[in-house]
Amino acid sequence: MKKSSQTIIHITPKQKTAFFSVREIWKFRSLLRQMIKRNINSRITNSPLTLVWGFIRPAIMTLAFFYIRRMANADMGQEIPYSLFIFSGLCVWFLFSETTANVAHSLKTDAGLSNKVYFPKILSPIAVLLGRWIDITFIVAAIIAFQMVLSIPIGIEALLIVVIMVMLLLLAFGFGILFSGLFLLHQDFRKIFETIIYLGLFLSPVIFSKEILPPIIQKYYSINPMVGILTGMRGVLFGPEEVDYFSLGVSFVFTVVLIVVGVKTISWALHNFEDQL
Amino acid sequence: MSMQETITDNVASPENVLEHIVLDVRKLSKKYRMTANLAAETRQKNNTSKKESRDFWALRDITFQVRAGERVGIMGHNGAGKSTLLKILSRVVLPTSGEATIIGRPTSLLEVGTGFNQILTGRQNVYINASLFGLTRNEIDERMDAIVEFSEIGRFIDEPVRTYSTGMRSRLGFSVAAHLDPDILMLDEVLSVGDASFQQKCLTRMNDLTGHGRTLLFVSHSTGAVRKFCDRCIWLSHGEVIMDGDVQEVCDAYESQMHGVTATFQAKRKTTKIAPITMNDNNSSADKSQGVLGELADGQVAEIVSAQVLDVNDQPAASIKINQPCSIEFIFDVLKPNLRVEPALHFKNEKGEILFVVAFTDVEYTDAINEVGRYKTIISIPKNLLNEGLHFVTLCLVTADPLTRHHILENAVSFSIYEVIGDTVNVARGRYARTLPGGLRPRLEWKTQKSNA
Repeated sequence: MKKSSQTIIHITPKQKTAFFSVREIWKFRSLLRQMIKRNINSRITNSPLTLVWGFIRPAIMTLAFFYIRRMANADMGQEIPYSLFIFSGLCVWFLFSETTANVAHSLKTDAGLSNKVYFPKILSPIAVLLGRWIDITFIVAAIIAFQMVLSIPIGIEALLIVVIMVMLLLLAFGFGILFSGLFLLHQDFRKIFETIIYLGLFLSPVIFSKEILPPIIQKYYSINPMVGILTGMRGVLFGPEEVDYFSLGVSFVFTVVLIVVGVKTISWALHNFEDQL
Repeated sequence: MSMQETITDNVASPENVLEHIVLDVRKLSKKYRMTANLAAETRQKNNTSKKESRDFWALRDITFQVRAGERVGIMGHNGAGKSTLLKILSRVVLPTSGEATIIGRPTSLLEVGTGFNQILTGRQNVYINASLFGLTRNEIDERMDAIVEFSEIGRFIDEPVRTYSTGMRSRLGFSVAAHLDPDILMLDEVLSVGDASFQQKCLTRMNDLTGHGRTLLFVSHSTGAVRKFCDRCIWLSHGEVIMDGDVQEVCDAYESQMHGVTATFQAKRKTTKIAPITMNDNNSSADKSQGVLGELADGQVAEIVSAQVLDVNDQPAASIKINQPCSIEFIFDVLKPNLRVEPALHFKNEKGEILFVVAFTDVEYTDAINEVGRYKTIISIPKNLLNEGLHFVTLCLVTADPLTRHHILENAVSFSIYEVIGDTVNVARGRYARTLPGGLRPRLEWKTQKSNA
């Protein structure tokens, strides 16, 4: 700290540090820690039940879907009790959609800060992402608790849920920053974003298993990155379900590509439409 | 520490940069694109190239250097580019061209309490706010008690910030800033809002912390604040540097352009009608002075020739230190004899309110002036009489009884009274840190005794 006479900041028209720079993130790790804390603290202070809502809302919706399926007497193709199937699906889906939305809006949320003080802008979405660990803990605990109630066997591979959840966060990150870049470009992307998130609930195997789809669709279904994550989640937790490693692999590749595209988009958008923030 | 990068090859070598330069700004420019409305306008005009007129240059080729320990004020009217400059130096926006080099650990305070979260407590917000400026958690832990004590927030520190008053919020923000310990402090107007006594406390602390090595970059449009806190001033106008130099010199020039402040008045040869210098609000005061002065005399009895404000060394000056005497030199011609002509002065403040009127009380002329000729009179204004700010002097030549006005010049000369921070013994301020209200600020004699009753 005292060798300040040797430190130099050089300001030029070109953004010297990239949007995604591990060095910058590391330098600002102390701020990142505070931002994660702020994220969690402010959510909890704002609504003390916020963590419980992560599984209460899916639970309520589970009741609705359970009832509808009963009435229709439909086959959703699942191996485990439908209530657990749909509850776990909805929990993970809402976790994903909320995280994605928060990541997408994080730059705008922190614009009040980034317009006054310099810090790597990528900290905002990262803080949102890492602030979710506590939600994930609650949600996974709720799913496992429900599983126990229904006496569904659980194995050692349940620990792999950590990997699945990391993938979910990374996917939310890629998707979120891609759209936060697009938001800077044009406000209408907000509507498109909302629509995709809404449709995704029905296009992903949240309330049905992919087994009920026609074979031709099943073949390409894994392109939807949530397929790998949802089937993976059920596979590692619930004994009777299988992990679809192919879909999981596709999800992984998809996520990596999405993050690269997202970082490129947001960097470009920030450089050209910075004043939109 | 965390906000800086160590010397790399692309940075100017020590031979190029003088040892003590801490900020080197070279041909810095910032261009903004205008909104769609203007584009439509351009399309209608059709004679200028679309691209050119859609651009707005907030800064254009700004070049200056700041040495360690300098306290630099950046002045300018609204939209002159002051804040844009500070934003670029804070790395919040990128310049369009040019470059700037900062040597040392900077802290820029574009807004007090940046990023305060309404629902979190004061303490939680201190952690976020301070880590934004690059402090680590341990550093914040170390300073937490001092920050809380300095802010005078007391037990409210563990209450949500939403329950704070504006004053408390800015006190807490200042307090964090005062404990950041930067080499270069960049402030944007933050010192001109909020609690004045707290501002003083904050600046005193800033001075105490490092003393000589600390560099201040202070953006303001108030000459009073810049005079108080700075020793050098850069005047920006429409994105360009108009003047850069000693704070008094630049502030004088700024005031004379922005407020029509002029220390000297010289009548044109053989003029009978001279347009008064207009001020923002002189309708009411003009009426008032007419009331005081009565009827205008027939024919020219007396005429004002010139006037100027002189400082303690009898040199013309547009700005006077509050604890130094000054004087006004008033030269006039008396054209007709035996009419008991006498000069008089009206002093007004920035708002155009009359502070006081002085009549001619020269003991050498008990019966006013009855002989034709040119007269020069010097009116001494004692030190510690006028308050800080701009003062406008109206020159009058009248006959007192029956009240007849011969020649009136509204706001013919003007000057600004300023105070230098830290000089509290010889001024009427005492230990009082707030802005002292009122047009006058005399330093009176106090005689205090303890009564035994």
